[in-house]
Amino acid sequence: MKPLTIVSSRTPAGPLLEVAGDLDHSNAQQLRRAAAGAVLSAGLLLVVDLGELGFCDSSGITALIAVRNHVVAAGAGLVLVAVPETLRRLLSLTGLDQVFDLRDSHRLQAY
Amino acid sequence: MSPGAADDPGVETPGTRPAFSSLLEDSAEDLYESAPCGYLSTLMDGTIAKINATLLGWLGLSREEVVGRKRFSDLLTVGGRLYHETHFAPLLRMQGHLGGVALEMRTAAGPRLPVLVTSTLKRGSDGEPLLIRTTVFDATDRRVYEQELLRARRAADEAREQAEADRAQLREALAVLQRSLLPAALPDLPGVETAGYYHTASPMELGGDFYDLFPVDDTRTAFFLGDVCGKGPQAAALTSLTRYTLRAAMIQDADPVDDLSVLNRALMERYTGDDPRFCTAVAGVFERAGDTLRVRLASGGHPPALVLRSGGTAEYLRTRGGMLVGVLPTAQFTEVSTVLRPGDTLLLYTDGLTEARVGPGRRLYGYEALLAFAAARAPVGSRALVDALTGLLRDFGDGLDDDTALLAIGVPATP
Repeated sequence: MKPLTIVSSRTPAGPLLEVAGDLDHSNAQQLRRAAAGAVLSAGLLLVVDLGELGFCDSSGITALIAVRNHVVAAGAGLVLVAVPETLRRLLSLTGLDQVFDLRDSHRLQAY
Repeated sequence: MSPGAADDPGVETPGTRPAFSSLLEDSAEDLYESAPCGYLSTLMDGTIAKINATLLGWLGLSREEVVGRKRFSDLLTVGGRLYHETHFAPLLRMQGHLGGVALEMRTAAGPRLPVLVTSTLKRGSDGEPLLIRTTVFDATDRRVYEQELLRARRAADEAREQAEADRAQLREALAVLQRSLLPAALPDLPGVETAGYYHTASPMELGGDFYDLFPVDDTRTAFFLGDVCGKGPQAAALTSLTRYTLRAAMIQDADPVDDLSVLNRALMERYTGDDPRFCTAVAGVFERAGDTLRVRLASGGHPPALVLRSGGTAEYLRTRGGMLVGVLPTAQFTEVSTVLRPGDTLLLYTDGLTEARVGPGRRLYGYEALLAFAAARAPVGSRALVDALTGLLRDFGDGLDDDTALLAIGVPATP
């Protein structure tokens, strides 16, 4: 089990969360808190970089949905970038690939 | 030789300075008489030859009553006397020494005095036993301490029994709740063979898987199987809401896509914002047409159903696009249909099966392995398929750490 680390920073488009390590029921709350702590307003984009994400179970999925609910309530947008293949398959199986905006890279200039 | 003379207390160590000696003890005689423990010497028949004042004081007896008149065992309670005669005296004679034996003495005033007794056999120069020297320690404090220990131990035993009883009661309550989330038995339907199975990962945790199958009218039967996210009482509450919402929706209008939409709305209303809760589910309806079953089913983010054909093949029924139930108000669900002919079997399962860990590398069991397992057994009836999968789950051992539900629906092969 790799410990979860979440690094917050800001980009011109909005807040950036870089999530690394394993996301499960023991630490999913951390991701929710990090998103709740991000300053969001209408028109901004929260970018969550999952490039270094390891294992992600249903609690992790729940946390991502909670993050999305928080972002949508603020009138902002959410983008998941560099989503690992296993999570991508899980999101596809659960139909969540239609809910989340998935991008391959986090070249922020693109936004 | 008189017993008293034979058992004289020792003389002062030569060379001990008198001033120092008198500071410590007035005399050896006084040390003997007023020692903080009881002393007595008895002849080999038990007759008391010498006894110190401390012990006489404890017993409330005078020297005249005791010396030459009583035997050591006369000073003991009935139980103590019995023990003395049967164990203490014979062992002492054999070993020459016996220490720390707990006995009870009778006092003149009535109360028993718990004591610890140590005896040594004194032998003459020819090796013949001459007399027995005995020290007696007041063990009242120690007895109180032992009783405290016993009481504490009894209290601990009772607490443990209570905890075990509480645990058993909780387990029973959980089992009743768990059963309420599943059908007691699947209905008997003419020309259809059904089988269900539920594997509980932990008896102390309510699982989050569910399934059901029930007739909605004379020709149609509804069924569903799913998995709520999470475990424990909150997951069970969600499971309960899910099961009864779906059941009511399907009895009202057996349309798989509409029914999942009803469930989606119910979950969205109940769980919102920061505490999203959702489930994956497959809901379906089948209807007899001749000797076949026409099956329509819809999936909400659930692993694809598997069909085992009479020809010995197996395939997944792809339901792509069906979304997790309870996440988005506008969730879309997709319907697929298939026809089950004699010898065909449809299998619904939860991801406890495909996400079990197998082998030394603890890799995921996965969809391909399940497909191969099914194909190797096709054609197979519902009961036999569920039995085979139950065996597979058992073989997973501790690689299976999630609840798993299985539901199979098939048309028996025509002979």
